[in-house]
Amino acid sequence: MSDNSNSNNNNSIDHTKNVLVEKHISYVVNLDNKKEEDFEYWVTEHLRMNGMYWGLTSLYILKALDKMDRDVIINWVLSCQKSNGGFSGNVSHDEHLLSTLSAVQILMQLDALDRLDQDLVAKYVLSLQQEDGSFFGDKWGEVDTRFTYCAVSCLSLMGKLDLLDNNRIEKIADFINRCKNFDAGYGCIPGAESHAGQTFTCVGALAIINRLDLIDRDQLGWWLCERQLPNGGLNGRPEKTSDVCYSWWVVSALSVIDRLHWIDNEKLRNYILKCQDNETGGIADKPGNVPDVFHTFFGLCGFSLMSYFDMEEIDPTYALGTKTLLKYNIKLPWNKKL
Amino acid sequence: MHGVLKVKTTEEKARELKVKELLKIKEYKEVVSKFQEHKSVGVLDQIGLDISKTVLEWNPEYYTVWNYRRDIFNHFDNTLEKEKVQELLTKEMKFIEECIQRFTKSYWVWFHRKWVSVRLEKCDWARELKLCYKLLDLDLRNFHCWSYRRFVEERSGMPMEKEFGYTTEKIEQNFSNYSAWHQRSSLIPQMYPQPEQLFEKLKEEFEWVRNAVFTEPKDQSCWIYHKWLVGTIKKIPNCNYKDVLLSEVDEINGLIEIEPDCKWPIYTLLTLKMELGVQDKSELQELVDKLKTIDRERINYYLSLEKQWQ
Repeated sequence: MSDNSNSNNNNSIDHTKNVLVEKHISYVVNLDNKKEEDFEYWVTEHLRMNGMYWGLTSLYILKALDKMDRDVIINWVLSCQKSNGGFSGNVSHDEHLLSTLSAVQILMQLDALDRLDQDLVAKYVLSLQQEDGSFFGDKWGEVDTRFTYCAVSCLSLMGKLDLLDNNRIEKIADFINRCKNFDAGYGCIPGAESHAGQTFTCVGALAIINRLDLIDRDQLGWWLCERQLPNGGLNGRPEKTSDVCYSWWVVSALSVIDRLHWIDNEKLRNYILKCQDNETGGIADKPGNVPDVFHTFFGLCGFSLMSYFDMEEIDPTYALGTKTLLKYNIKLPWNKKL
Repeated sequence: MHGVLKVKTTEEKARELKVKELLKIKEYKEVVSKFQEHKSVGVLDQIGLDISKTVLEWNPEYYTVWNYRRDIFNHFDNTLEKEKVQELLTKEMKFIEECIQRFTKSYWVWFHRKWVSVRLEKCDWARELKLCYKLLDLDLRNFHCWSYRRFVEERSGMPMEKEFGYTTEKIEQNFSNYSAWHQRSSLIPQMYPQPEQLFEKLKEEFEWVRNAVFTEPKDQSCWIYHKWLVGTIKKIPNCNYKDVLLSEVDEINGLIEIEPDCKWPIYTLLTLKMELGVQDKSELQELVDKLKTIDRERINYYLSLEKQWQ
C-alpha cells in the first residue's frame, strides 16, 4: 500500500507553513510495513487496537480512509473480541476497556457496527461499574476516570446509554465530580492532581451523560487556556513543556465547554506544523523529534478542531468524525455548527 | 515517540544500528513466544512466573503478562502454603521495585504494586514511603508516584500533618512543584474542618505563599494556589475575608511596583478587585488593558472577563 507514485521525496515544501497531507497519509498507510526493522513496533503490540484507531481516524481527518483494507481490519478487530464481550489490544492479549472503546470506534468508522454483538459488549462494560460510580479498566480492578470515559462513550456510541438508570448516571457524575480539583481540572481518581488528559476524559464523560452543568466553564476554561506556552504549544499541567498530544486533550475540552477561542489558535497551528516530519511524514510530540501515530492523530485533531486546512471535522467528545456520528443518529448538542 | 530526538546518522552508522535493532527484535520475540507457549498450556506455576518475568524486564507495558502473574498468585493462594505465597509476594514487590525504577511512568506497573501490597500480611509501608521519597526527588512531578504516595498514606494511617510538612519541604525546594501545591490544597480542608480554624489557616497560607510569589513571580504554580486561597476563604461563612483580600491588594501592588510587566500579579490584582467589588471600573479596565497587551495569547479570555463590568 505504499504511495511512492507522488513525489514524496521532494522536501521543498515548507512544513512550517503547510500541512503535509500526502506525506501523512503515506506515513500512516505504511506503519505496518515497518515491523521487520522497528523494535518499537514489537513492544507496542499490546496497543495495536488503539494504534489502529489512531491511524484510521487520522486517515478519516485527511479524507483518505479508502486507503486502508476495510475487510482485513474488520476481521482483525473482531478476532480480538473475547467471550465476555471485551476487546483486547491485540490477538492473544487480554481484554480491557481501553481497547474495547477503540474497537467500537473503529467498527463505527468503517460502518460495520452491525457485525458486532453489541449487547455482549454492553454487558462487559456494565460489569465493570462500581458502587461509587467509578469503573474498573478490566477485571483486575484499576480505577481511573479514563475508564469512566471509555465506558460511557462505548455505551453511548452503541445507543445503549439507557442501560444506565438515573441512579447509576448520578453516581457516575458524582464520582467524576469527586475527581475535580482546586484548579477546576480533573485527575485520575479523587485526590489526584489535575491533568489535561484526564480533564478531557471527565469533560467528555460529563458531556455524554448530559451533566456539563457540573463544570464551572470559566474556571476550567481559564486553567486550560493557561496551558498555552509562548511557543504556541500546549502543556498538560502547569510548569511542564509543550507536547502535540495536548492539541487534542486541551483543545477538545475547550471546544466542549465553548472556550476554544481563549487560546491563540494560530500560534498553536504553527506549533503543530513545526512538529511535522518533512521526510517521513507523521507528527512528533515536539519539533525535531521522531514522529509516531499517536501524535500524528492528535496533531491532525488539533487542525480539525480549530478548522484549519479543510480537514474532515472530528467531534471533541467522541473523537470520531462528526459525519460518522450523525449517520448513527448520535446527538452532539455541543456542536454549534449543527 | 515521546521525547525521542531525531538524529541524522551516517549510512555506516545507520547500518550498524539496524543490525542491533534486528538482533533486539529477534531476542524479544523469542522471549515473548516462550511466554505465550507456556501460557497456552494453561499451567499456573513457578515456571510461568520465571518466564513472564523476562518478558516484563524487556517490556513492562505488556499488561497481559502482569495479568498472568496475578492469575498465578491467585492460583497459589489455593494450592500453596500461606507462608510460601507471602514469600513469593515479597519477592514480587522487589521485582516491581526494579521495574518501577527503570520505567517510572507505567500505569500497569504501579497498579500491580498496589495489587500486591494489599495482599501482603505485613506490608512495610515505611519502606514504601521511602521509595516514594526517592522517586519524587528524582522526578518531582511524577503523578503516578504521588498517587501511590497517597495510597500508602491511607493504608498506613499516616497523619495528615506529616504529609503537609512534606509539601512545605518540597515547595521550599522548588516553587514550581505544582504537584505539591495541589497536595496542599487537598489536605487543608481535611485538616481544618471547622470554619474558624480554616479561616486562620488560610490567613497563614496567604502569608506563606507570598514568599513564593515574590521570589518567582512568573511561576504560575503559586499564583494558581493563591487564586484557590481567595476562592476558598470567601466561602467561609461569617468571616471577615474582605480584610484579608484588602491586605493582599496592598501586598500585590507592592510587587507590581518591582515587576511592572509581569502578568501574574496584575491578573491576581484584577481578580481580587473584582472579588471586592470596586466601584471605579476604570481601575479594572486599566489592569485588563495591560493584560491584553502583555499576554496576547489569551486576549479573548480577557475580553470575556471585561464584559463582566462593561
